[in-house]
Amino acid sequence: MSITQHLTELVFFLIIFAGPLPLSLLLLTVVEGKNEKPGFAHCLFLLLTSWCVIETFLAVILGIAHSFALGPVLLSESFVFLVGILLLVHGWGIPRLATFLRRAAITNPFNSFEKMVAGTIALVMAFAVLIVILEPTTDYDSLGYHLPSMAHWYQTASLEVPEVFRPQVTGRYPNAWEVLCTLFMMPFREDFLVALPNVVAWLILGISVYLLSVHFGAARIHSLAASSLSLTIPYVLGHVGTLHVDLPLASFFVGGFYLSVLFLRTRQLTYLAILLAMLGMVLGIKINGVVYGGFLAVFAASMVTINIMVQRRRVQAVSWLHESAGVVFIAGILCFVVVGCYWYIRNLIEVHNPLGYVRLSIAGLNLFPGWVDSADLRRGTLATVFRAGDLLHWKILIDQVLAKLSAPFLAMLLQLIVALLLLPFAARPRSNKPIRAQSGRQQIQTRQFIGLVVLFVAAALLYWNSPFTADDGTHNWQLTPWFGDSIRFGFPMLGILGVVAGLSSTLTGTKEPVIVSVVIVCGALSVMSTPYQRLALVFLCSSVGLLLVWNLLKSVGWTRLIGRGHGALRLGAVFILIGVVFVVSYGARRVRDGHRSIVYDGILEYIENNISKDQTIGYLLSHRPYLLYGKHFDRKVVYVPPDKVKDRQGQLDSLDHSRWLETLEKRKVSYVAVGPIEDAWKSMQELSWIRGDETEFIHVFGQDTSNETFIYRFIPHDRRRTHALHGSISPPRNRSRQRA
Amino acid sequence: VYMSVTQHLVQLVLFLAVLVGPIPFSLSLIALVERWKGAAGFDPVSGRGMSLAHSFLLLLTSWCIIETCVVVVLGIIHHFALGAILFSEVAVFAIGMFVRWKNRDNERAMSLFRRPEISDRFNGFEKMIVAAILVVLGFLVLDVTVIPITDYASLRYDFPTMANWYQTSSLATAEEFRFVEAGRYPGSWEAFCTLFMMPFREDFVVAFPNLVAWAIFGLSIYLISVHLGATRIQGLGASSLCLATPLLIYNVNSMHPDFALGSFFMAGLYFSVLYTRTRRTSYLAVFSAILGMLLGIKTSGAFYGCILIVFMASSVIRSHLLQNRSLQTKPMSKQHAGLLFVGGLACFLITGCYWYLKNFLEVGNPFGLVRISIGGLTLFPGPIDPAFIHKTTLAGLFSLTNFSHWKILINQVFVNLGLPFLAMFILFVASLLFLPFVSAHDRSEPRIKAKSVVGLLVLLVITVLLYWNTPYSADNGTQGWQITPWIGNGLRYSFSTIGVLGILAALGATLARVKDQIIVSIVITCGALAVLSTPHQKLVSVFLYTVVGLLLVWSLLNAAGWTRWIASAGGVPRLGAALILIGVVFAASFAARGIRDRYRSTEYQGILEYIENNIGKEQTIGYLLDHRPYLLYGKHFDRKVIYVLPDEAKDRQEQPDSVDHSQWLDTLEKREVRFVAVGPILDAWKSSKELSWIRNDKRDFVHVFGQDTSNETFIYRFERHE
Repeated sequence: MSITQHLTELVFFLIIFAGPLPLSLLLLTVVEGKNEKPGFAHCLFLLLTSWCVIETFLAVILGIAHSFALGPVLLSESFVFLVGILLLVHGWGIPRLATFLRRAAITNPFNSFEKMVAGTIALVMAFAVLIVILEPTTDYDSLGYHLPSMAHWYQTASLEVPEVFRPQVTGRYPNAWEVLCTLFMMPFREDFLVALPNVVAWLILGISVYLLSVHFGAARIHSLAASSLSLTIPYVLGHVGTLHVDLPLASFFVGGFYLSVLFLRTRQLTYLAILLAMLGMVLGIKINGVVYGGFLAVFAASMVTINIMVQRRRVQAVSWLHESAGVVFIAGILCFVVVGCYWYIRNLIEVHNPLGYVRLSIAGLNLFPGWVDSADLRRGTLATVFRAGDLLHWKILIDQVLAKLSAPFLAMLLQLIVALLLLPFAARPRSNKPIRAQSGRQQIQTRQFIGLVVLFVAAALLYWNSPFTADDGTHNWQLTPWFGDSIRFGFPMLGILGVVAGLSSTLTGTKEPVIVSVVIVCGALSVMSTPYQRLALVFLCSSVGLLLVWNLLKSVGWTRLIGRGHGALRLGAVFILIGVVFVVSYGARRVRDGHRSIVYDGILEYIENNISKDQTIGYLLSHRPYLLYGKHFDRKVVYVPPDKVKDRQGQLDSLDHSRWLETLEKRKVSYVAVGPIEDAWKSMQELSWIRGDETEFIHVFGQDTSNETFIYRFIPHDRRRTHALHGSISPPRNRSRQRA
Repeated sequence: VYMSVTQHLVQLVLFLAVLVGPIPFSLSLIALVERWKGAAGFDPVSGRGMSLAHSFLLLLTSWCIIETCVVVVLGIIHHFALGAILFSEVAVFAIGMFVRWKNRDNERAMSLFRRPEISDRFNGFEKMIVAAILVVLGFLVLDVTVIPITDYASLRYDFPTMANWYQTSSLATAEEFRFVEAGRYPGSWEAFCTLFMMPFREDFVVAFPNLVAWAIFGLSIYLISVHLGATRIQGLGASSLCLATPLLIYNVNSMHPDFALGSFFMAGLYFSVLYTRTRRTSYLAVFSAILGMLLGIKTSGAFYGCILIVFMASSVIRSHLLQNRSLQTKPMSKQHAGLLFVGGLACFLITGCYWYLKNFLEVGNPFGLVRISIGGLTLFPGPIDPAFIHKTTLAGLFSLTNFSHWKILINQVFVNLGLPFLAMFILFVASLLFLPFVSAHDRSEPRIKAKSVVGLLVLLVITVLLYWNTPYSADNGTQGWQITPWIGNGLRYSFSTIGVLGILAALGATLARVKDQIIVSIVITCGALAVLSTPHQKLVSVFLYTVVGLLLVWSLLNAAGWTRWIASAGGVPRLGAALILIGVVFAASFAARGIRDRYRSTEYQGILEYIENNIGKEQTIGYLLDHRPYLLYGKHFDRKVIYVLPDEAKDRQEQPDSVDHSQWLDTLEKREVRFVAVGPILDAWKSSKELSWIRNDKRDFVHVFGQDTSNETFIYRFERHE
């Protein structure tokens, strides 16, 4: 990786990153243009969500058009950028935008305690960015199917389902978030910043919790603390480094909840439009999103209906005829369709069922066919598996919750319990009377608080009934510590818990020093409890060091120098900043390379140096096929399982075997990769074929069967004879490469 | 056998008697020390009332000193047993009460502990730091009560000595250590800790004095910082950073006296600063008693004591020469001052000089076995050459130009001292950077004098040099006289340095005006990390959840107005609350003992249970090649244990092994040894002759306990078959 190359790639990245920003800003000014006090967090929230939606929209459109490659991406990002700039200049004018942004930035400044909480969030976010930059993902699912699909899209410039996953349930999942992440594979041609959108999602979750708490009347410090606590749940933070889509689902669900509340209050059409786009994201991110999206839609619709029925007087006519609102509304619907519905439409066309292989039947009537019964899905839910009378189940549950969610979750839960216990003392029988809120600007309505608690319980029930929350069949549909992995399906519930906890702490009047201490301890705890211990220690030490040095410089008066300096000085600072970004990103890529070769056991280097781009790698019995695509996703990878012979018992294995070899030959497979071998695979016939035949399969890579991928060079039958004659097994061209 | 509830109750009462014994005396001492122109607790320097911290420091230090005096005196007269201790504690209690009644200074002493003025109360940030310290303290209490000590040196040297004292009711040197250097170390701190073995007849709260030392360390650093002009929050921050150093936390639950040495060094520094400022004889008396503690805790304490004396003397002389105006030197009646001074001197002699006197009488050298010679003239003879001692120090082994040495040192500092040290170091650098601006700041808020910063810098350099020259700071010979990560073990000799660094950090933070919220965040993070850094992860998580839970339950009660109700209510609810508290203490301590039993059996591989159930009290256990002989004394220190390594016969080479062997067997028989314990076997012992004798002789030595040679003690039943 040369420096110029990195520079070019960095520029590409910046184009992709900045592409939707003008449009997002435009949206912001359209939506909030007349708002006198827009609020910084609210603006940031709209900016980030619209950024995600626009990026995903572009990626999906390009994918549909089979042009999902760097060139078209750059082109369309530039186009979107220019359109955004033009519209900004035309409609609003840059100066007015600047005024707006200034208005957004100036809100009531934080006091020291709030600064501490915000500082904690900022530091944990910096750590999340570090994880994304430096640590290659080792997560099972990510390497198993998220990343391979992405590599496949990268290679085919489309959103086609890879061959392996076509008959599987996982292959029919919606993939909006993976598509968004794939965008960030393109500039660097490696997975350097592939998980960057996760940080955005993490931030959206935090901001949504904060905004919702404030909206319902929690004090600012309590809202900040609630957001910080829900962000520093170790398992939530840990998901920044994986390609799981549960964190973004939760972010857009809680964000959507915020927007629907906002819409209910203001009846602005633009909010409805953004809500629709977010619903699209919820649908497009995960198949569960159908339920969560439905939940949101039902909530919004019912609240609107109730409001209209109960408080007829307060209803304001929706400003339908505002020109820009109409445009935004249409754009929202478009986003909803493209981002959210595309996947289901594709499934409908390809397998005649929008949900993939899940049979959908209502009252005995088969709406959509499929081989997955809803009873199958119910088998692995906690609702089915968990027995409340079994002490062992409780032990597993509590152990895993403590291990995965840890102190922040406990703090939030206890805060909620305290508030609920105090509620009867504080509230008079007339439930409409507001409770005395200690420092909130608004007062918390008991009714709203109880409603939120009910919502939390509903979300918890939803989690409890989500498929595979207890087991995915690998543990015989029993409750085992495996269940801890699936706590991620409960992230939406945790977001709502955050909001409820924020309100609770205002209700109970929890003191600032207490709440800030808990927040800081939880922050340190979450950083320390990620699997990257060394990084965490170095990070904590350097951030403490930087904080102190920053303070020292500040007390010398150094920052004032920059602040008051002329343009030249500021320009210099900007240049230095750019230089720092360049150098840091360059160094980070090198560090990541080092980490990659450690955690992936050097397989990427082996492929890079020994397997050429025109040779095909076939794989089977591997849950990390992603690695075979090579560091730059430029190796040909095919899935080559032996054909399943229907009556295996009746037929001889050799027949099966030879047919498989023929297939390999026919598909021009030069290398066969297997493993890491799971316990269930150990007795597989295919494995013994490969291992038993040392003339056809020559072992070239891998030491430890259960932790590493093994690579075998495949010598087809006819070529073997010629090789025997020439006494060589590798083509000369390849050997010269190796020497070079 | 599970101890009964009544037994625990009785033992708890005994423990409380030992705990409370010196308190009235300490309180009257405080009143005496602070008698200043009739206005108790008036600080002439700041012009305000003396702080609560000062009174607490005085209370804790005097408590330690009185207890140690009692223990040493009882040891000298061979009455170091529970009965005599109770008697003397009651006597001390009675004397204390009498003195207080006589002087009627009850009011005055208690006034020092009154709630501070509202203007002096802590603000939110300071409260957060104090809360962080208290949380760490809570964790340490849990650690000390629940987790048995597994530290190598403690199990090898300190504990067996203490168990021996317990059994012999004296301060006699244990047999194994009579000819070893470690047996000649002063043992005030261990004797003090032995006191807490007595009430429970096990090592339940044996490390309790370390908690007190921990508090003394923090209070001293805070008080010195504030006295020298640091703002209160920075003083609090620096002292809590010091207290949260991982190595410090680790050393609280061990029998290493190094930590106590650091604490009393800091306390001594505080009282010397106070004396130079006020010239009160009473502070000098306390100072001399602290010097006695320093001497009695460790041999190197003599050097630290000298530093303090030189430091104090130089500043006294300096202020005499420069200012030439006498401070108010006659604050109290001569009678009281003289009394106090004599008392201080007596403590100095008892706690400090006893050990050296004993060594002098027993081996003719106050410093034990190390030859002391000045200019070729041997003052005191001894088998150990000072050159050997020099070889174990960093000064002897560390090469300043060797990059890898630096790397190891920095790495070990990072691992053992961690984040708090880093923060303090940066603040220390800040104090250096801002030193030139001190005069500019002169009239403004921080009243830090350049003089005091420079003085502390000198002190820092001296303590670093002292650490650099402390024996065994680099190697004890097991690493082949090389600089290896082993030096991390020796970092515990640097606690005094860390304390001085903490004070400088507080001054630096004040000078650089580090923001309150930054220092608070760092302190809380360090506190959390300190708790996390201990090896018992399960305990840590349980503790953290408990803290979070307690916090919120407390806030619930607070919101419900519960505390106000108690405060405003009459005597009955208060009595109820007190009773509940007592019940909680009782139940918690009972539970903690049970948990400790379980931890003990896992940490010590069940050897205590084996001894309890299979070896009678009248049967003698002989041991050799064992670095955990402490465990053989049994859970209640009631087994007979003797050291049976064959004599290093001078003519061993000349005699055939068999003769030597049979001689040894004869000795075992003569000493009525029934069981022989060896191991865990260190690498150096693997080829020793004695080991092969025991292992090969399956007739005389029947293996009855132990599985893993390198981690467990093996017990053999010994029966001589002719």
